[in-house]
Formats: sequence, C-alpha cells, structure tokens
Amino acid sequence: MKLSWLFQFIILIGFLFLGHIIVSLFSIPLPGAIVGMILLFIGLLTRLVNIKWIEKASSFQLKHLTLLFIPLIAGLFLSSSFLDILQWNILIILIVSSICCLLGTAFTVEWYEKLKRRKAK
Amino acid sequence: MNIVLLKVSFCIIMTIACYFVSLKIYNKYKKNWLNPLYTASVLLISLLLLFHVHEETYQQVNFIFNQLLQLAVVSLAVPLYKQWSFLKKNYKKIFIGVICGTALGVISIFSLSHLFHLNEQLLASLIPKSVTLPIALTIATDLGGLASTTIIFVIISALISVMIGPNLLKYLGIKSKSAKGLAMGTSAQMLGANRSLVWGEEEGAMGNVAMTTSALFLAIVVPIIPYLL
Repeated sequence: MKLSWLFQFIILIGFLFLGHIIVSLFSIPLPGAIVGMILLFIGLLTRLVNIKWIEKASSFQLKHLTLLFIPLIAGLFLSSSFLDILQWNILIILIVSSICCLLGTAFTVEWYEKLKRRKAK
Repeated sequence: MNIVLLKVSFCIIMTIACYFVSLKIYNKYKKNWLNPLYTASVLLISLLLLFHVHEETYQQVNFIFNQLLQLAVVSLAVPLYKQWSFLKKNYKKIFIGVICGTALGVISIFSLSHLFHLNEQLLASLIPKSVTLPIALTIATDLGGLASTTIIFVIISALISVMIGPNLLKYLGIKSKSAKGLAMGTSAQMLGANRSLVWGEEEGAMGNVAMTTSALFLAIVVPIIPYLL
C-alpha cells in the first residue's frame, strides 16, 4: 500500500507530537524529536509501521536536509551577540576540541578494527 | 501583524530560493567547495543584509525551519532501520568510538578552559557543543550555561568539523568507512551525518548512529559532571 505525500508527512508529524507528549508527561531529559525518532524506529522494527508508509517523505526530507541548516547559519551572522561571544580563545577551544573529537573517534574505530582483524587471523 | 507575516514569508521564500540556486550551481560544476551549505549561506546573508532584515524577523523564520528540522530528526529513523542488522553486528565498535571521541572532546574543552581562565558559565555553554542542537540546549541549561551562546558554539563547531574533517581524515589515511562516518557524526552531528551520506549508505548510517549515541551518552553523563568538579 502506498500513501500519498500528505499522509506520509502526517505520520511523521504524529510521531514528533507523540515524542513531545511523552517527554513532557514523564519529564525525560531528552528532546521530543529524538524520542519521536526512537518511537518510529521501534515501530518499524516491530512492523507496526510499514516502511512504505513513510519512505518517500523521509527520503525527501533527508535529501534536502542542507536547506534546514542554512537559516541557522544566517541567523547566527545576524545575531548581535555573535561578535561579543566569539573571541580568539574561544575559537581556539572550538577548533581544537572539534579536531580532538573527530580524530579521537576515527582513530579509536580504526584501532579497534585492526585489533579485530589481527584476532581473526 | 500583516506586515510581519509578509516579511516572514518573504524571508522563507528567499531562503528556499537561495538553496535551490546553490543546489543548481553545485550540480552543474560538482566542486566540493561549492557545497550549497556554504554558497547558499553566503548568498542568503548578503541578501538579508541588503534588504535590512531585522534580527527578530529572521528569528521567526528560524523558528519555522526549526520545526522542519525536528521533523527531519524523526525521519532519521528510516536509514537507521534500513541499516539495523549491520549496526547490530558492529555495536561494540560504535560505542567505543563514540564514547572515546566525545570524552576526548569534553576533556579538551575542560583543559583549554582552565588554560584560558574562562568563567563557569562559558564553560557550561561549551561542554555540550559537540551534541546535536536540541539536546545541547537542554544540557546547557541544566549545567547553567546560556542557550543562545550554546547555539552559536554548536553551529560553529559543526561547521569547523564539516569543513576540515573530510580532508583531514583523507590526509591522515583513514580509509575505514565506519571510522569516517562515526567521526563525522560524533563531531558534526546532523551536518556530519548529512556529509557522510554523500560517501555512501554505510557511512551515512554510521554518522546517524554516532550523532544519536553521542547525544544520549552526554545526556546521561552530564548530570554527573558537577559532582566531579
């Protein structure tokens, strides 16, 4: 069964709302969107939700995800507090910690894969 | 009221137009530095400055796009589901990689903040910066940081990771698909997951999982941090 665009989006919006409702009911320290994603994921795994119901709408959204980041960046440059906060020492912290995070993950995973390959031999 | 509505819808149309123009340029020339994320942002910022759009007006535009972003987060369940059997097989690798990377990021923030003598409020806004935006905001307010400051830090660090990450990984000879996807997802969250989808399905799923796992990890660990200080 294939659903129209509108219904596909309504299902996704429904899961988002469900996530928000659960977060506020049980005061979970996670954002509603993430809870909604986990719920939809569980729904897909348990076959309560058929992937065909939402596939078109979700792949459309993920294809144009970049569009949704552009307003954030534009808003950043328009905001008046932008230059007050951004000083050279903070910029250094941001750059160094981003690289630490990036390389920390990459090298740990590579090291783990190597270790596993050696074990397999 | 009507004028505000008109202004906001004008800004929305402008934002979407900038994106599609940039996408067309990118599809025509296929150059990495022509990524719509950069070209559209530059184009949009210059247009907004040209039309003297006020900060508050654009904040309302941002609110609408933020709702769409939340919906996109829900859609991320689909790639996660498609790659589930693959992810289940590799869960150890994912957890070890993401936890080490996130921990290293937080440790580097701590040590550098001590070096530069930053105040506690700034530190509290910095700690969650490598987590996806909505979660970062909750963590920052829990720690006593400023939400608006955290937004700036999250976006800037994601931009830094996306700009230098792929080249840095290539330069250092990291070829493993999982390592690339996980690294991008941990350090640049949504932007990184999006970038790793360009490499392929496997990298994309890894990026997505890394984003979710690092967010969950920090959301659990952060309430403990004040006791450690």
